[in-house]
Amino acid sequence: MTVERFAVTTSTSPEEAPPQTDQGVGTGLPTDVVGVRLARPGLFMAGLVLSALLPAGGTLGAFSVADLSRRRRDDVTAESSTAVVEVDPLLLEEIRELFEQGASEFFHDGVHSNFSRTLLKTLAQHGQAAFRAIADYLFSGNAKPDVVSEALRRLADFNDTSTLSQRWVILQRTLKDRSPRVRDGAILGFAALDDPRARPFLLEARNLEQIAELRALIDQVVVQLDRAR
Amino acid sequence: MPLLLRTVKQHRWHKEAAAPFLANDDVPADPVQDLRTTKNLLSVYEVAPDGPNIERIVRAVAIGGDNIANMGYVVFDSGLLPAASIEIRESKGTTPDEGANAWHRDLVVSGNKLVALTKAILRHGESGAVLTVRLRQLVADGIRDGQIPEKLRKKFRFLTSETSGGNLEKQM
Repeated sequence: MTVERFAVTTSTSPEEAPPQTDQGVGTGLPTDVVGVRLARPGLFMAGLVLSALLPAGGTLGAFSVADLSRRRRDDVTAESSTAVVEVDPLLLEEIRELFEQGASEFFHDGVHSNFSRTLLKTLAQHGQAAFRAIADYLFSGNAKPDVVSEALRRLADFNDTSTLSQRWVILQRTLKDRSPRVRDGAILGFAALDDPRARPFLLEARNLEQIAELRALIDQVVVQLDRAR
Repeated sequence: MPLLLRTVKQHRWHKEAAAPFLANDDVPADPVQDLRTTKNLLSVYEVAPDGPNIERIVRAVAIGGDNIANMGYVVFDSGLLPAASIEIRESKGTTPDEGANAWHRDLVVSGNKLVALTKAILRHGESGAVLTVRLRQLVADGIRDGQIPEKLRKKFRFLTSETSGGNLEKQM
């Protein structure tokens, strides 16, 4: 497998401009967002998507990563100001197998599955590298909705401050997935993160949402986030 | 007629996804699997008028599980049961919350009755969820006020000092 490194500079759209808050604007993330181009198109897309979702100026959509870290006392760390986002092919294969095996499970709320246990162990063992591989696999379009939904809920709840921005990007992207089950997982993931700065993304998703139950779920999460302000 | 509650995975009960099945007098298979039975009995809980005990019921089920995270449920009118020839029996629950166990009921079902019940819930019931943050707060409250038994306090002790998200791996 060949790896070609490339750099992309992104800009923040007017809709995603940071709100005027008293929390300031952080500069924790790179101004040059760097992706990785791999021989397989899915890998390229994942690297590109992850990169493109990290806007310029150290902001994550409508707020800065530093804002996130300030509220949650998280020590969010960018890998470096010009880091190359590289997906470990072996880890990616491990993740692919994990998700494919997980697709045969029937998940229940409040009960760990083989998939969730292995996922959490993998995240604990590999940290940011695991999240890069997961993002790569999720955005390849090959993942099954039920297992993706389960993964989103679990990874959102993963208590590792250094991967907060990665988890955020994955949730933000999957909030617009074609599958209602995936969107459900993303909404619940944002609920678990419990950060009020998810509010505009959730409201935007609500405006597009066709499923009544998911609109109600977003409303419920927004009420929760408003309480957290 | 009183309402009944069953914890489920909420996204399997979206009405829009079920509509094509219901239009053909059928049901999607996934929600049926949420209605697991033991000895042809389906475990449900009776909801008090206006639903003040819904969160406590969900919490009671949740604390018997592996981790405290979002939990979905469906609520439906017990008046739907006679049409499906489903008998309801009073039966004390087995959750760690003794107070919630009094609301437990068993529905006596068969395969056909289970499908009929699924259809009735999809047509006339409502789904909802208690979110992770709220559920953890409820558990912390239960520990504090004694509704959750002493033997579980150690299991959920971390919730009393940190009730926001991000605790899942501690429960592995």
